[in-house]
Amino acid sequence: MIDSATLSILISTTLILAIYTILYRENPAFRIGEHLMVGATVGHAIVLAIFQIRDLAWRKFQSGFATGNLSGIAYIIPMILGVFLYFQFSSKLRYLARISIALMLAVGLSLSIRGLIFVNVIGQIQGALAPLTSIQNIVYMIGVVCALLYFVYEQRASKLAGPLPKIGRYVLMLTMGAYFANTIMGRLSIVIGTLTSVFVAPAWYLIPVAFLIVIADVFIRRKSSTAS
Amino acid sequence: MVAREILSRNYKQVIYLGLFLSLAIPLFNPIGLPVPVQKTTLGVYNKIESLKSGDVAVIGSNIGAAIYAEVYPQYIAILEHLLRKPGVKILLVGHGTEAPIWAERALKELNAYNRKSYGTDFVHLGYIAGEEAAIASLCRDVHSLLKVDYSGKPLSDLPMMKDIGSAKDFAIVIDFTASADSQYWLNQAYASYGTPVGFGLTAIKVPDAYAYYMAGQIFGIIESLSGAAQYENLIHKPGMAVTGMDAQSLAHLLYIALIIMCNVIYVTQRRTKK
Amino acid sequence: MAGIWRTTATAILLVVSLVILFDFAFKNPALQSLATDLSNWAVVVGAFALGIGAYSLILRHGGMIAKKRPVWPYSLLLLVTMFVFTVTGLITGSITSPQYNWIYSTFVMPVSSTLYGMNAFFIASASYRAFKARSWEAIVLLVSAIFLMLKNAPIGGVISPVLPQIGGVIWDFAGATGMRALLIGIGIGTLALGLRVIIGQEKTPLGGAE
Repeated sequence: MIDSATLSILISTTLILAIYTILYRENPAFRIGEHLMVGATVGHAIVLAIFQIRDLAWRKFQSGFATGNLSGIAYIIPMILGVFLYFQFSSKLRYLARISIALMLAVGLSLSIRGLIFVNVIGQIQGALAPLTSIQNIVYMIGVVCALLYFVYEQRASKLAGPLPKIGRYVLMLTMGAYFANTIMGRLSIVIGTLTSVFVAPAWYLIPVAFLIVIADVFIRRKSSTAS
Repeated sequence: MVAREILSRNYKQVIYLGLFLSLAIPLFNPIGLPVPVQKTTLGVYNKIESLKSGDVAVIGSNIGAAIYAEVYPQYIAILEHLLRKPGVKILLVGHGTEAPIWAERALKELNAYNRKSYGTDFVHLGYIAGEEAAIASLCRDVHSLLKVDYSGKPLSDLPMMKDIGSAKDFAIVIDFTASADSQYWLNQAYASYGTPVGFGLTAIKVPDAYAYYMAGQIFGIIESLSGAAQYENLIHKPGMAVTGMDAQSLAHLLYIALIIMCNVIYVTQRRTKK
Repeated sequence: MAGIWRTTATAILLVVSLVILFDFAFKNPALQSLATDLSNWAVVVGAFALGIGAYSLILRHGGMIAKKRPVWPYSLLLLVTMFVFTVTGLITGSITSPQYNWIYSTFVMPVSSTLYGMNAFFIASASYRAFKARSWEAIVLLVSAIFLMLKNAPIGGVISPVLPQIGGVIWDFAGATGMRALLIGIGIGTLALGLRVIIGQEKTPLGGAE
């Protein structure tokens, strides 16, 4: 009799190997894994949505209603607005969803603007304005100006700017190299994590089974293609 | 002849197999390469070391199944470090839908419920929907946004929550994420309240965060699995991250070899055409 | 009729944005209380938004099953999985219950991380086939990427201590220049677009350009 932990390892390893079969070719095993994941993720979101609405709104509305507290009772408004969001799927009542979107957009945008001004714009410009007392700071300052000139204006930069936008292009290419190197490191880390979960007993016994299935498929397809 | 045919037609599968072997072999036979500590990781370590009894450390998280391999080892290492600090309060907050699962998993893995007292030493607030609005509301007034913790206990019954009203009461925030929501804590906690912020990030987000580090806006970054390995060594608790670094090394060499091969072939073909 | 509602939505967008922006600028208790309530309301609406994806998927995949499209068995699997997760979560009352944890660890964790990490293999084959240094810019990109890879992986320091040092210099330079320029550009761009949306110049977020 298999215990639940072993069953979990076997099923999850089978799913991992099924997903990896896409590296060989498109096949139903990969599709099954893909659809399982989408269904699970969305089911998870539904559960969370229900719990969040209960904890963030319904309970406050209930206690407000019980005690006559207006700010608690007012939570009926966002709950109604939340329901309005689903009207975007209706051609007749779509306009109601705009109210809900307007509220979310307004709060999200204004909060972002407040933060971005200080963090991305002022903070970064302050960081760039280091005293030009060392070669490093001078080089960094030239690099930022050139990169900004290219990033904002591209080919439209004035002739007065001279070669600066072109230098900025190279600075940005250097930065893209950094993103590329980090992307590789990130993806490799995820694969390492996946393989670490597969290289445990009894999961690793499924690896040679998967390889044998793939090799068998290769030979069967070769045979059928030479026969036809 | 068959080998040449396979290499030219199925070169992708050959490369995939090569990558698989370069990752798998070191996992079975670790080489034991030293992992040097970066200044960004040291920044986080030193900040946590400087925390005093009574300080509140907020651990934000958007860890999910997709990125757990990179970020969860960092999360575990930081939580372990914080649990070792006597008197430091820990507030766990999720702004990703799977975050509570990983938070509870980490707390159980580190035996936090037995080592410390829930409600006095640490509180788990769970997931809060709403992206940046949720973080902003939390930083503005915790008790106005939330009445209960993750398990449904009223916040008013939890002793440590009596002293926490807003981000002014947070000593530090460390956020673990893979996406743009690392910006939320900077925009809300740092920009509005001056709360020191640090990150535990996937490798892809690190370049953006490094600009904030260079400008002095964040105190440190734990960079992907490498950062987790460095932190595990700093707290003398090697785990999955350290064992994974050997595999990283071999696989990186493979990538470099492939890029060089690609360009050697390209240059040779150009010369042949001329 | 729709025009009145669009105008109402635009007015709400403007007023709510101004309340939150002014709250940041002027420390007024009444304004602060209103801004707090509006933020909390947006959080609640955001919670409802979590279910939008589910609603859309049910409509789409339900239609595929009803019309017996060729891929209908996959759609059925998707909806059944969604149902199982929803019911398990609601019955156990928590997403960290042992039962929910079991199905999450068994079905979500391995598949999600495997799909996400798949790119590593595709990048490897692209590295062999596509990353040709056809221009000086491409050469700069590839050379910086190679040095940074040798900095990221411990083996770089083992081959030669100079390699990660060069990588470190490139990394610091990129962080202080290119990355900074990108953040400033993104900040200004977001600010400009955000203000255009708030004052109603950008109609698309609220449905349709005029």
